[in-house]
Amino acid sequence: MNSITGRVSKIIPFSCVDGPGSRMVIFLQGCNFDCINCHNPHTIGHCDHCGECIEVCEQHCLQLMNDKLVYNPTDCIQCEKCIDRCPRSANPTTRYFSVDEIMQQILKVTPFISGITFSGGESTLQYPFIIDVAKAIKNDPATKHLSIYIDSNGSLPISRWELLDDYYDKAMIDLKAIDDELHKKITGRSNNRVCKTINYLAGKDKLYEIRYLLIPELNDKTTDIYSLVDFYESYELNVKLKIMGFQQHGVRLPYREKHRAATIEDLNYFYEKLLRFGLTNITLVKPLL
Amino acid sequence: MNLQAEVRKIANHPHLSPAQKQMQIAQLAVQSLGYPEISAEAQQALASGLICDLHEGHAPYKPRYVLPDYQKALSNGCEYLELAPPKDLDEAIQFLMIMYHHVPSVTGFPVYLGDIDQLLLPFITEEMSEDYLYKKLRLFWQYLDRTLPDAFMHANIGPVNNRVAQAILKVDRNLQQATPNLTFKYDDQNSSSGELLKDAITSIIQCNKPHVANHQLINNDFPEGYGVASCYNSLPLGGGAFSLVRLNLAESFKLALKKVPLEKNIEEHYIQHTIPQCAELLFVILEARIKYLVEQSGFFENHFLVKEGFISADRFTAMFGVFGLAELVNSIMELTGKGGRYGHDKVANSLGKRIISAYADLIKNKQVHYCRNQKVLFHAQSGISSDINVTEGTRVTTGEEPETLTHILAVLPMHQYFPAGISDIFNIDETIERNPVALLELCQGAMRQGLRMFTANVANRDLVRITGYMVRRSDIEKYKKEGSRLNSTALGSEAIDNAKVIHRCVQAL
Repeated sequence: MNSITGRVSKIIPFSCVDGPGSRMVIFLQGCNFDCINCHNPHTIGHCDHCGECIEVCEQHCLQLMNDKLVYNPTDCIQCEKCIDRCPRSANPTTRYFSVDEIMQQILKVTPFISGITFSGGESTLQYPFIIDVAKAIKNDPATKHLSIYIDSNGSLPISRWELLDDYYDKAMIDLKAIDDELHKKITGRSNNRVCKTINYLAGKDKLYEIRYLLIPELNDKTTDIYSLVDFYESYELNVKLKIMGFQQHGVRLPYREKHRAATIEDLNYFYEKLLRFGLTNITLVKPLL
Repeated sequence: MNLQAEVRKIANHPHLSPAQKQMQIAQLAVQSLGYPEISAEAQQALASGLICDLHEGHAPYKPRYVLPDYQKALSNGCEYLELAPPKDLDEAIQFLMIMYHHVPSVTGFPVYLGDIDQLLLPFITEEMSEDYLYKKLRLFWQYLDRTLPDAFMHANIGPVNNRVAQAILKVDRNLQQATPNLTFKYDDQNSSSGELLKDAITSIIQCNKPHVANHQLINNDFPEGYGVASCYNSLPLGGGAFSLVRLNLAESFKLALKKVPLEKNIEEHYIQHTIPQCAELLFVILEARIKYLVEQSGFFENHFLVKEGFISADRFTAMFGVFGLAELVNSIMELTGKGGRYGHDKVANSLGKRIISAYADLIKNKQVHYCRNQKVLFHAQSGISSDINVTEGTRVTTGEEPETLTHILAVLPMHQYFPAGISDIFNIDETIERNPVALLELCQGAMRQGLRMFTANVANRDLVRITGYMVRRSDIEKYKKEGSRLNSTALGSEAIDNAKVIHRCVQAL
C-alpha cells in the first residue's frame, strides 16, 4: 500500500492532444503560475471550503461536512456550474486519489492507449505522486509498456527534475516568452527556471517539445522572434518547437476580451519568420476552422 | 387518408423524382394487401408499434438483404445477363455495374456490392499505374453514386492490404460521396491489415468513412464467408436475410408495466415474462413473412441469382432486431428508484446486458424453418428516420454519450450478442486530425477487446452518419428546398429533425 495521494482535477481516459498517440491524461490540481491565457483556469487554485459552489449544483453532489467541502461524483453530470461559480479558480470536483486508485483507472483503459500524460495545473508540483504512480505503472506487467509524459510549465527546480528522471519518458514544456518582463506579465513569474529546465531536459534527451502559445500583439513581436531564435541557438536546441495560437475559449475575464484569438495569418507570419531566421524543427498547430 | 388520396399526394409531390414516386406508389399498393397470416396478438403488436416490420410490405416478394457471390459470377459469367466472364479490369467493372442493377433488396437497390478489392484484384496487372487505377475507380465510384442513389448500398474492402483497397479509400475520401457506404474488414491478427487500417483512419478523419469491422470476430460466425450490407448488417455471403423485424424495447416496458403486480419487481418480471412474450410475437411475424416469401412469392424458384447459384436459399437467415434499449433500461431504473442512466451508470449498464443476454439465449434456442441452420440472427437495429424519442439499437442516447473511451467501455459488452450486427457511433473531436495515431490505437484497442464494429463520427465533417448510412450536411439544407437525387437524403433529413443527430456530444478537451 502506498500512502501518497494525488490531488486530481480530472482524468480524461482518451486524449489525442496531450502527447503522441492515444493517451490517458491525469490533470493534477493546482498551479504556481497564473497565466492570463490559461484555458483551464479552474485547475489553478485550491478549494478553501467556502461552500459557494454548493447552491449551483442541481445534482446535489456537493456538501459541507465538518467545514470541509465533500464532492460525491455518483450523480455528477459534469455540467461544471460549480467550477464557474468558484471565486478562487479552484475545482470543487477535485478528488484525492491514492496510487492504487489511479492504477485502477489506468488498468481499465490500458488496451486502448499508448501512454499516460500528467498535466494540470502544474503537474510537477506533485512530483512525489508522479514518481509513485510511475513506479506502479512500471511494476505491473499489464501497464509497464505505457509511456509516461509530463506536461509542465517548466518551473520545477533542476534538483527536483533529477529526482523525477527515471520515472517518465518525455516532457512537454510551455514557454510563454523569452523576455522576462513579458513572461512575468503573462504568467506572474520569472522564466528563469523555465529556461533552465528546457536546457536541462534537452541535454538529457527528455524534451518532447517546447510549446509556444502566440498571443497576438503580446508575444508575437519581431523582437520575440529574434529572442526565440537566439534562445534556440545559445542553448543549441534542436527540439521541436510547437507554435499554437491563443484562443478565447475557457479563458478568464478580463483576458478573454482583452486579447483576440490568433488567426492563421498571425501564426503563418510568425512561423515563416522563424524559418527565415534559421529554425528548422517547427510545427504549426493551425486553428480548426 | 384513403389509398387514392395517398397515391395522388405522391404523384403530385413537388420534390420527388419520377423514379422515387414510382417506388413509393408501389409500396402503397403492397401495403393495401392483407398481412401474411399471423395471430391476433401479433397483429396487435404491429399496430401498437411494439413490433415493426420496417415497411417491408405485406407481400414479401424479395428478400430484404441479398448478398450475391459476385466472385462466382465473375468466374462463371452470367447467362441471364448474357455476360461472359470478364477478361480485364474494364470488363470486370462493367460486369459488376450491370449486375448491381439486377440485385434486389428492400430498397430496390443492391445493399451489398461485394468485397470490391478482392473482386478486382485478379484483373490488376503490374503495368497499371496508380493514376490509371485511381481514374478507373473514381469513375466507378461516381457511377455508383449517380445511378444507384441509395446510401444503404454497401461496399466492403480488406482485410489484407492491397493496391485496389488503397485506391478505393483514396477515391472515397477525395470524392466525399454519401454513397456507396463502405466497410473495411480489419483483421487484427494480420499485420498487412494493420497497414491498411492506417489508410482507413486517414479516410475516417476526412470523411467519417469507412466503418471498421472486426474480421476475426465476424468471420467466426460465418464459415461460408460474410458481407457487411446496408446499415452494419453482417450476413452470410451467397445468401442474406429474408427479413428483418424489430422489437421496440421502449414499448416493451409499457407491456411489462401493465402486467407487473408490484412495481419493485419489474426487472424480474421483465426477464421472466415480458422477454419470452415479446420474442414469441416477433417470431410469429418473422416466420409468417419468411413462409410467404419462400412458399408463395416464387422468388427462390425463378430468380436468376438463385438459378445460376450466386445465392441459395439455405444461406438465407432472418434478423431479430431490437432498438430502444436505452429507454427500457432508464425506465426500469427510474421505476425502481435507482435513477442511474444507461451508458453512464454501472448498474444500468449491467441491467442492459442482462436483458440483451436473455433475448440472445431465446434466439439461439429457437428453430425457424427455412433459415440457415434453422436459426435467426440477433441484430441491434440502428433505427429508422421516423423514430422519435427512441434510441437506436443498444446505443447510448444521442446527446448523452459519455467521453469517447468511457463510451466504448460502456457499450463493448453488448457486442458479443449480435452476430448480425451492432453499431455504436463514437464521437471524436476534430483535433484528431493532428494525431491520427491516437485514433488508430483507439480502434485497434477496441477490436482486441471484442468490439464488433467501430464507427467514428469526427466533428464538423460534411458527411454525417445518420443511422449507419451517410448524408451530406450540405445536401440536407438543399433537400428541404428542392429535393434530392439521393433517396437516403430524405431519410437523413427526417432523422436529423427527429433524432437530433447533429447534436451528438463531442466533449471538448
